[in-house]
Amino acid sequence: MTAAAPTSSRGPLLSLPTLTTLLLITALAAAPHAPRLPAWLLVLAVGCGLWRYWAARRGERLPPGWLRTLLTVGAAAGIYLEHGSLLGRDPGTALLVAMAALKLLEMRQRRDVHVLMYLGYLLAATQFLYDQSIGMIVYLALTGWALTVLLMVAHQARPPANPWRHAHLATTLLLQAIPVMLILFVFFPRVAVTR
Amino acid sequence: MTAATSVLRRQAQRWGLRLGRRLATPATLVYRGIYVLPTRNGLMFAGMLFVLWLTAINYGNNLIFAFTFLLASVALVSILHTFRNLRGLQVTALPPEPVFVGETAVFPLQLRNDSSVARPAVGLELERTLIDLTDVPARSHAGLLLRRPTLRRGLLQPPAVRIFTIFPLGLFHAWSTLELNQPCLVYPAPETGPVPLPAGASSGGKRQGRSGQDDFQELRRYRPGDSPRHVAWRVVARGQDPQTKVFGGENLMPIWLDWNRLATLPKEARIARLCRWVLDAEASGQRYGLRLPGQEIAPGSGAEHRRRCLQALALLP
Repeated sequence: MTAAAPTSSRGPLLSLPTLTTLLLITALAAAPHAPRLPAWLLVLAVGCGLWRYWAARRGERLPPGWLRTLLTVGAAAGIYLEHGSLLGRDPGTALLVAMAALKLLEMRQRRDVHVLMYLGYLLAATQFLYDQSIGMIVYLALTGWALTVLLMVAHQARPPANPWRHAHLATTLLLQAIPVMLILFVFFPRVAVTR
Repeated sequence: MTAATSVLRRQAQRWGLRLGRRLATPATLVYRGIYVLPTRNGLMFAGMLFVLWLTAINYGNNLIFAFTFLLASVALVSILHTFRNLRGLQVTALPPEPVFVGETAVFPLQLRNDSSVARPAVGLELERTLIDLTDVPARSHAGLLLRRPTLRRGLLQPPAVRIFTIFPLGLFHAWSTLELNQPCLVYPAPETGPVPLPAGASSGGKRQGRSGQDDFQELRRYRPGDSPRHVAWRVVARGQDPQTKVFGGENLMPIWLDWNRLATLPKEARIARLCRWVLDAEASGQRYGLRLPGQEIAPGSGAEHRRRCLQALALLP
């Protein structure tokens, strides 16, 4: 069944327009977290994004594995030092941002692209832990829609050149999903957590 | 995750064997012939939803609940879209072109989409490997190609293949298993090296008052086995590729390519030589007939005659 998503494809995994869109949408999902992030993490995230864009633009190789590992361990250690933990709301979202940023440098297989999109969904959703204003709901709904559009393109063994090709279908999908969501929202059992 | 997938896959295969419906082409992919299972990405997506759901519970956050359920619903709805991307698609196996042993047999499939909705990213897979992928526009058709190596002469039956799609989100994999009932005719491999056509009929032979060089017709490319007397040496002297003179007189007498005259050779070698002779005789524009055990093809020439002779050779028991 996973044969459906064969990862062996020659040439770049994603076209430059698709990759650029992916970078922008990941930034869109992460941006509202920015004010709460330590400055060094912000620099790391923006740096990774620019590095990825530059590498794709110039057809350069991505950084070697040991450097990515070093950055990952460093970022986790930094977040731990900052918050005294890796769990919880603030360190958790910081960790998500760091993971998404470093995943940008590791997009070798289609699966990596998927992981990045899922991190994007997580980044968008966790924003509700901080801000539940109408404006933010609209903003994050749009982000979720954009991520879905991109997911339609990114999974394909031969992605179309235009990342917005299936935007219309993503809208249909979301509209069709809303009634199902309402049913789930009302009837899905909630586990009560006593705090 | 990988272990879970392989367990699921094995289970699916078991179901596939039990309920597995294979459609024979030409086929319309129908409701009961299409199977759907999550992909590895689909399982990963479910994992992400689980994390979100835990977060929502942990913080009692209704908006995260809503977001989680929305994504889950999108995934559920996408199953229908994945399914619909295949349903009603008409698959026809087109007859493949005959090939010689050692060449690649190409089995073309035609996908017809009579619906008003395009079907993007419909693929062909064999043993879980992607073979070919195409988009089928609305009210139109598209093609997929399956290539197989040829090892033996005769009829090559294509393996059962899967038409699949993971569109739109890559979370679910829908497929139908198809028997392609258009075998490929595999001609024997012709013998290589200099193999002159049978004596008495080919170039240089004496016939009824003609020297064999009377009415010169044309020049054709030199092939190994041509009589040196017929090589256009003047052309060679000019430094061009060697050419052979073809004479009209040669076309009068049909030559017989006879199985029984090759009694010294083992069976497959006989077939290889006869195959080469058919090709050479046809290329030199002669009329030729083929005698095989239990059948005889009357002398003739032309593409259809050549095809009949090669087919007879390919299908010898």
